[in-house]
Amino acid sequence: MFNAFLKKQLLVFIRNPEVIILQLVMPIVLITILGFALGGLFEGEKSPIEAKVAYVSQGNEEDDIEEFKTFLQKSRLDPEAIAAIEGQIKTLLPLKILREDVFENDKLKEFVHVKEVEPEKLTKLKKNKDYAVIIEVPEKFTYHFLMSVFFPSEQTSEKPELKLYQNEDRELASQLVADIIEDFQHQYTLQTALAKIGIPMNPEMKQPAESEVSIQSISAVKSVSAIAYYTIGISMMFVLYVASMAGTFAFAEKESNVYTRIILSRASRTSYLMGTFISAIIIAFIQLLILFGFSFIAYGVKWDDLSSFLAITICIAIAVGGFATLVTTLNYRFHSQTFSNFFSSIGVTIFALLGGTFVPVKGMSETVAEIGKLTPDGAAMNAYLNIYQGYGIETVIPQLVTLCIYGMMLAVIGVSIFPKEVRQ
Amino acid sequence: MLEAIDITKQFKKKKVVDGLNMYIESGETVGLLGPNGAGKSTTISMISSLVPPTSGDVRFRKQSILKNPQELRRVLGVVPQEIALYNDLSAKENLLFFGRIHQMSGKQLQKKVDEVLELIGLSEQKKVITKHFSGGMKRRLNIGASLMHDPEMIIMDEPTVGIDPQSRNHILETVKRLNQEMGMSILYTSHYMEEVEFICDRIYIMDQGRIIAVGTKDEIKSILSAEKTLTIKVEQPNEKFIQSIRQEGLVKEVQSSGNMITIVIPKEVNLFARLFQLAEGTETTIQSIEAQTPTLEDVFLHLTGRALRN
Ligand SMILES: Nc1ncnc2c1ncn2[C@@H]1O[C@H](COP(=O)(O)OP(=O)(O)OP(=O)(O)O)[C@@H](O)[C@H]1O
Ligand SMILES: [Mg+2]
Repeated sequence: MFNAFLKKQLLVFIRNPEVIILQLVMPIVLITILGFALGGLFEGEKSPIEAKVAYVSQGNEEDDIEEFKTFLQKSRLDPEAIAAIEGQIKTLLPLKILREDVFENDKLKEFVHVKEVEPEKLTKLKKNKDYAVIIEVPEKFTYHFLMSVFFPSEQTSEKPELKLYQNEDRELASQLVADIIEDFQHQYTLQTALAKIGIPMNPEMKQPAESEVSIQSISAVKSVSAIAYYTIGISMMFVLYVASMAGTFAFAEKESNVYTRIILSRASRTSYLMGTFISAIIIAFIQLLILFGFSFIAYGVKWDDLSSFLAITICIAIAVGGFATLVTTLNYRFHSQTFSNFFSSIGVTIFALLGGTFVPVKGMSETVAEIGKLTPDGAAMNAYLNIYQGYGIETVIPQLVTLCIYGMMLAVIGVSIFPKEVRQ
Repeated sequence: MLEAIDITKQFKKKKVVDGLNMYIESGETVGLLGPNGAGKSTTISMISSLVPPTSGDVRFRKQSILKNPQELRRVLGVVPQEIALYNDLSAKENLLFFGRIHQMSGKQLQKKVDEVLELIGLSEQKKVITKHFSGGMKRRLNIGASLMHDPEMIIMDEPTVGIDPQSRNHILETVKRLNQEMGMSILYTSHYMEEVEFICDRIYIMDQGRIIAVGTKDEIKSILSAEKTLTIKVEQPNEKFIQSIRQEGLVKEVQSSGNMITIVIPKEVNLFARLFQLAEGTETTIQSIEAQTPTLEDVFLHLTGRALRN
């Protein structure tokens, strides 16, 4: 029976010229206008991901090296071995590599700005959320590191490990830096592990590989052009009109007494609303495929990670289904079209503004950006932008969950407050 | 089979239906006749389980439908006064939809759709989108949509409003066939006398929320059987002549419009000679006098002092 509602609703959508204009023509026009008009604005900007990194060193590399050399002298190794080890130290120093090779890498420098900060300021740094990531080098880091490489058996103190403080507000950027540091950390623990089982190290071989990893994860980040940004933003705004359309159709159904026939047929309210929910999901999904497909063909906005793209598209479509169900119920409950009208005029606009359809939320105040992320538009845009730039699906799980919760919650509310008696 | 017992519907302070009693037996065709605003649609909504009455009860096969309307809904078809169809769907798609929500599917559904299209005479236009239909075709489809689930009883609320005579005749014939060939019980609402006279065995006449007369066509007309109506055509309207008729003791009612004068008198009285006398006395020329058997219109006029339609 739900099947009947689904088929009917899809036909009603397809047969309405307003739908085609509102759902497809208008967004395409807007994407084109905004994409080209504001193109310059975007190109002038730096890449959307910028990571300010604070580098805090609790110890002193030079002192650590001296301490290690003292230890070497005292050890029972013969002078030749000592000389060999001392020769190798220079090429091995992890902090030096981090500062000079990783952070100074040209590509990375476009995104990551490292600033050295005195240890006294660390607590203050953690409080003001200026930095995306704070890297803290613990005391005697280099000493412990060298010890663990050359004297794995004598290692008594803690593992040499860098401490990372990620700023949650700068998810994207901080994750990026964290990934790099993790790679880096992984590299040098590998070295120590190899040393422990007695395999001689070959620093010359390790180093290039190490820089390679970091650079790769950087170059995966694609910058977002204006046209790509607005394809996402405008689509997220216009997909919501599916919900107001569904509300409008439902109201017409009630007004024309078709709903009377539905009651008399003994079809359940739930199957009626499920038809609304699922059809809105399907329509929203198709609409988005057409809009993104158009943008790909006409403007080359390409999605490398197609399956993640589809996952987000399904999730936002589910959210739209929830809105469609709720708006339908409210129209019925209050015998007026006020709710679908309100949703299409004010609701959609507010969501679009907060979500960042027109202006990236990054430029707004923190609070607005936070709220924006919780709107369906904002969550979906965030997810699309991440995936578009080449991040993995795991970076957008919270957004996907937000969208699905929207869909399910609103649908359940819609079904549960749908009026039992429908006044004529 | 279906009966309304003393039902009342009150909106705010206004009693729209007031203590109405009504029943329909299986296989019967019943007419509900009344002017605009009489409360016909409200009555229908209550007896078809769509709107609960403010007081009173509606029973189907002796069971109240107020708490449990499903049994009635299973066998009931309702043709609403407003056209209740999807404008963006074709005739066939509409029928398919209304069949599906009645849990029909597959071959049975297809067969029923063709059957109904045939019955309402829209087989050739089945692919046409409803919004492109004429008023009459929409009305026919509006009826067809209520027949998809083979109802035992069908309630029609003014199914012929605002359509051309041809479509109207088609609909009236169809309704008759539904009763005679398929044995459906029918409750037919209208403010057109002729329709109700043509279709219905038994008639309820309703005005201002109350039933003012009920019975078979003949029974109702016999309310007036003690009287007859004369229509007098004069050359020039003349107030003196009308006044003099009014003063005649046997004349019950006098109405005039233009050069036509309608009077109601007891059946056995012969007033022809007297009328010519009066005409002469007031210098009026009578062109013709016609005697008529009463119509439902006359009954309504008699009962309420108002014309059914104005
Ligand atoms: N929901 C409502 N709220 C208030 N008044 C109503 C409502 N529905 C109907 N009425 C009033 O009740 C009266 C009877 O209406 P109803 O539609 O039952 O008459 P009807 O006999 O079907 O008239 P018509 O021939 O015009 O269809 C009208 O005066 C109408 O204004
Ligand atoms: Mg009515």
